[in-house]
Amino acid sequence: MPVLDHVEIYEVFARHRREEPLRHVGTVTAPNVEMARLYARVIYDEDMWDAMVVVPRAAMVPVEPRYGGSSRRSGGE
Amino acid sequence: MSDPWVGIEEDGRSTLQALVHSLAENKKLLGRRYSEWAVGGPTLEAAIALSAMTQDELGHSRVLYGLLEELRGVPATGDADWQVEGWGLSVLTRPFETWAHLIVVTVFLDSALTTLVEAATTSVFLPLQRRTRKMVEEERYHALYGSQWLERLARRPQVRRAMAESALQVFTEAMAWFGPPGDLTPLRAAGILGADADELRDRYFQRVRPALEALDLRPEAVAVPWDRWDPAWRRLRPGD
Repeated sequence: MPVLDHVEIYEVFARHRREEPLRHVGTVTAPNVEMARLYARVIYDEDMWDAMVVVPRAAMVPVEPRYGGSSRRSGGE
Repeated sequence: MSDPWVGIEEDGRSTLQALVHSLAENKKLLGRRYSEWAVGGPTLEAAIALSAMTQDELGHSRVLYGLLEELRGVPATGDADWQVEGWGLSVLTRPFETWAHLIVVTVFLDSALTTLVEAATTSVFLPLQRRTRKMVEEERYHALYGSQWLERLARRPQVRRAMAESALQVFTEAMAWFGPPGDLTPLRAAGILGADADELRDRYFQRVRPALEALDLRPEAVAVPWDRWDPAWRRLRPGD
């Protein structure tokens, strides 16, 4: 659909209280960061957030697991 | 409780009642029109945001009808107590046929209503001032939503032309809604509103100018047809 050109996925993080870490609460798909902020605000508004941020998924830099990642987590020590 | 009307002349009271009634009813109609697209937006995110805007508009309407009760000094027992026929701007009296038209109304009409609401946030009439501040905060997101979608849709020449055609009609109706030159001057003088009709029109015009330009419209050429102005209902009578 033409109006869906150039959309990006944004990861949404939020916390309830200032002393808490930001936690992943979901994603939104939006054409730019302004709309991503707006969409996150209305979609994830069930709680009173102290802070909410959106991050373009493309801007997230993966870090390779030091000890083999998921295979180690599932297998234990 | 102190009398909120102290120091406000009779003509100012009736003008304010008409203005609040028009604002309340048109926000209700706008919410109803938004709701018809709240399950039909081009993306799920767009639909959810529009649902929130629907709630905002209906909520604002309810708050304003509550203010109208205070203004009249007569409690309402339900929606049937309010005369609703006649106040609705013609653009809001029928469903929007396209998403692009909805965006045009958001950009060019929702913003006109907000321009008036903003002028009430500094009102010396406290019942009005208290009710309008939260509305302005919520309307910021409506403006952002409208401008972002308009910018995207207007990139396509065919869509831009269709939007320009409907925008001209909505813009003209919105420009008239503030009232003829000199209107609202008593409210401005009494400090109930922060602007009279001409100042509101100018603020609105500055607000929507970028959107007009994005649609290749030359707003200086638009003349408000005051011969169609209906002062009783604060709107233009339907044209030919």
